[in-house]
Amino acid sequence: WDRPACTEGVVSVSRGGRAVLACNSSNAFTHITVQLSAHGKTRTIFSEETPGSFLQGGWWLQVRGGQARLVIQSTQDAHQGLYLWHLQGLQRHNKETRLNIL
Amino acid sequence: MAQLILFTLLFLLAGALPMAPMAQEVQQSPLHIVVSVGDSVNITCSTSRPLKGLFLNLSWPRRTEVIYYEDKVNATVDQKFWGRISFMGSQNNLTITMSLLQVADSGIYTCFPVTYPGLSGPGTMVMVTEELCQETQEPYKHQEYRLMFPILPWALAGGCFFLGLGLGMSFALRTQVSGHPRHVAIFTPTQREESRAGGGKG
Repeated sequence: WDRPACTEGVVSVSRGGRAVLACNSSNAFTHITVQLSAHGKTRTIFSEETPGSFLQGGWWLQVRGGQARLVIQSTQDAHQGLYLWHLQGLQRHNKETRLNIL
Repeated sequence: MAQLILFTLLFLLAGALPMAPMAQEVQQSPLHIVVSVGDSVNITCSTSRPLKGLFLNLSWPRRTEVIYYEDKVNATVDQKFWGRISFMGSQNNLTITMSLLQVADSGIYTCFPVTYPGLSGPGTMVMVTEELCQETQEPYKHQEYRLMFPILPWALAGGCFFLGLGLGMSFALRTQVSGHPRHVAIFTPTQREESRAGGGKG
């Protein structure tokens, strides 16, 4: 069983600070989709076959085996909101983490 | 033992609840079932919501995954159920057959479709009873138990009603009797005369 565990609840980071959201699974990820939901809109940031390292608009997704990290080096208002993880390994799971800017 | 009693009580409560269909986004059937060791159960999970896959998990007395099913992908079956699970249908309307059931398989099984936001079914209570009675080595009368399962709450209610009726009637009769003299002396004519004669002597 994958039983993925992701950074829970709310992550708060200072504007311009570094934010890291992570998910760990017992089995290797094969596909990950990350969506950001903010101001009533949801957009897909990444939808990637894994493993790999992917860059997009200030977001950096690193996936190796059953470890996935979403890194934002300099967090801006555009990065704030609810992050939805759609994780695929041997099973599929949906997880969510909220990112707040202080 | 305590778990068995609790489970039986849960079953009775479930049997007494009204069976009106509720507006659920995930339908699951049956809601409860009693089977013998070695029997099979079919649990159907269905939803009209778009989903990526479907979990059937044991929710009580412990939490653990049983199966994961996704259309056109190899299903995952928990080691405990290897060789005892079969599927029919698609992930939107899936029937999961669990075979060769053991007493330890008793519990509440719940469907969890992979949707966002997350949803779950109402759960199916599965009670697996021993095939042989340990004291007598005679088979339990499962069919009778199955019949009694929905009837028992009504039988209890009826029993209470008649007990109350009996007590009420008994009280009413006692009240009626207490309105009359408790002892009635009956004198025959001879006794009256003897009585008068005795009275005259004194």
